[in-house]
Amino acid sequence: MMWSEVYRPRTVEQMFGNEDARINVIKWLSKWIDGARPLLLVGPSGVGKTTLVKLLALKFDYDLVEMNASDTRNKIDLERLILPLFNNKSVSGRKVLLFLDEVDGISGREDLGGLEYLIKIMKESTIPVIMAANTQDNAKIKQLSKVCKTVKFSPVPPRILAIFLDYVLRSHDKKLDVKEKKLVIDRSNGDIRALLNNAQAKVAGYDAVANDVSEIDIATAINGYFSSINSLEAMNYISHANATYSDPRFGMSSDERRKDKLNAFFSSIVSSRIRYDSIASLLDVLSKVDLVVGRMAKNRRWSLLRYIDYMIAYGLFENSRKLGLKYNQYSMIWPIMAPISARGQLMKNLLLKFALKTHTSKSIFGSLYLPYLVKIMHDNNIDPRELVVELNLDQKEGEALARELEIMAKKDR
Amino acid sequence: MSKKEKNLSNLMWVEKYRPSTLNEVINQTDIVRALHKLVNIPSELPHLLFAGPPGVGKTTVAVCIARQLLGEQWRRDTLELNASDERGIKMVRERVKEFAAVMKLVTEDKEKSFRIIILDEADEMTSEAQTALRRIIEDSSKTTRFIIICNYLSQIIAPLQSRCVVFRFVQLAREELVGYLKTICQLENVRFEDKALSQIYDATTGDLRHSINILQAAAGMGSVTMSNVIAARGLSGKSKVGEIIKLALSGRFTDARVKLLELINVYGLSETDFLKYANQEAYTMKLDYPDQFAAIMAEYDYRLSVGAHPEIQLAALLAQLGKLGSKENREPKY
Repeated sequence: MMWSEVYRPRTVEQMFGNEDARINVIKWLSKWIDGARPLLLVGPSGVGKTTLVKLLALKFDYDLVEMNASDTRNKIDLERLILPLFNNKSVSGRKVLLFLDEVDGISGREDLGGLEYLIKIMKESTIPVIMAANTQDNAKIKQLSKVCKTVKFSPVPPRILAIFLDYVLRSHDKKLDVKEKKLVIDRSNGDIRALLNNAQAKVAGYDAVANDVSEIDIATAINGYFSSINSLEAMNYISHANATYSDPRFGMSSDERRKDKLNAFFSSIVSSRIRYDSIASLLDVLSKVDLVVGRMAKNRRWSLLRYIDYMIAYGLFENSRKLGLKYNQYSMIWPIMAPISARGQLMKNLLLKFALKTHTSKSIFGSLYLPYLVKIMHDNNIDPRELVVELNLDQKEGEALARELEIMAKKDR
Repeated sequence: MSKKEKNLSNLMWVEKYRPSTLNEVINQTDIVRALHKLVNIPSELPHLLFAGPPGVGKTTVAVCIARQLLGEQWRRDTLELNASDERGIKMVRERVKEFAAVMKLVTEDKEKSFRIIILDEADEMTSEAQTALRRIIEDSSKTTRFIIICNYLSQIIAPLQSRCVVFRFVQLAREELVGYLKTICQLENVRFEDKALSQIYDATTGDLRHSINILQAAAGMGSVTMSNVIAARGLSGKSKVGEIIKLALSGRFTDARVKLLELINVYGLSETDFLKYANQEAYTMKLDYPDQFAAIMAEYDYRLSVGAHPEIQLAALLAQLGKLGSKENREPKY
């Protein structure tokens, strides 16, 4: 039997981790009165959000009505479920607790209008409602959290997982060495369910990586890849990563960028402190893979996709062992990248406008004119604010010039 | 001339001394003479193709022609496009075609009147886009004149070349450029050393617009001396690319990347210009293995054109240069 089922808590008292959050939820439910704000649980998976709600319903004798990501949840579906509940509080004379799990998984496209509806209707809830989400990054979830009481759950800390792991191993009369235990704990990322699955796999001797979870977060996947013992395991991480190969030339949102496998490997490698010759050999692999990605995107030959995981997994494997490589979302550290991005944002329009004025390309204006324009303004003590009117610049463009002047003045000193 | 333009020319000599009529163009005398004749009979003006190195006056001459043919309204009736900014077929389909289509309605009843499309850095266009252009040129030739500008004629597809009269602009001679810079110095009351002016020629290989910018920056430092010219040249994106190559060759991969990110994100440097400048700068560095350097550059030039992630390709290039630099087994000579 799966350990994650064996050790699923049967009562609220058996749960561990996130003590404060649990107490807050219990207090909320026990003191709930008509018109009280609904509850929004925010936290990573496998820390007990869903389990807690189910056990509480049992303990406080509620009928639990549940809806999760496997149900379609557009406005109409939600209305059909929620309205009757809100209108007659006790369908069968019993108290009802509504639980909407994975609300951040309500999709903008498939579940049209779902979140908007929730935001509206939750202001008038007449029964206790608990919602759960993994992140609050989404703007809609943020809006939703404004009409709710939010309780945050955190990943369970490694030292608590270690105690639990020892307890589980003891009860099965199994042993893992310190290194194996550390690996199991590291990989579970504070997720108790993942811990149990990983531990059982390790004990059984098959090095399963993602088990029944088909997609793993890109960060976990990259870290898993770099710490894998053999290339088979490494490949497993890559092929199960919740990420794709995309072509940034068509534009990329920051989330798409994060979920671009090639970018994830690239940023992890170049932001590490490894020697340039190691970097050179690893980047050469990525560069060749990128040629395939480019051809695939350009010619719409999606069949090429099936080769790419292999090229990366086996191509990088040998040269990326024991370098202490870790996932990094950013290819350049923030203190350096932030000012560059900020200047770039300001400069964008100015480049376009002046390239047109000087009958040249943005690139040539930027490299053969702009540094001189700034220098000339600097030498003649020209305030860019004067030029805002004369050169017909908008405020942003004026700021862009002012920023470059400041940098030049600093260098001059 | 509009008000804003006058103000930029007050600020920058390169704009102040930009010729606005063919008569003011002092170099490329053979070409200018021939163009004078063409401009005098507007109805018989063919499509033009200007080829030649950067900074010799191709675009300036094109704008002069537009101004002379179209008069005061030249800006309204001229579409200036730079293929280095938008190089794909989308640019041709959306902007060129649209402009050509609209103008027919506006100008149908006037007789000699037509509009001009100046297509700069056309050798940056994909061959797909050039092919699309071919049809548009034919379909709109009653009302539109094209002036196509490029550095390398060989990168313009033959069917386009055959639809235009080709003018090959030549690199400015040293005396020509030095003489021109001298004139500006006198008009602006700037002290200069003759040697320094000659050095500007070396630093820009005859690129007039870059030369004038260096001249003005050096003048701003007091007078046009050798050391000021060196400092002024150091300001350019070209020099910064040279610094990036040096950093990469000496194994300072991350430092090289920081500088490159700045050039691309802040100064809008295109990958093509990066490769172009890198090659020119490396030529002056006296490397031990110039052949291997060129081979690496060629490989990544290709990979950039096929691959999807320019950032990855450029970083991989810098790392490869680090490997080459360590092979030279010492700090490369600069």
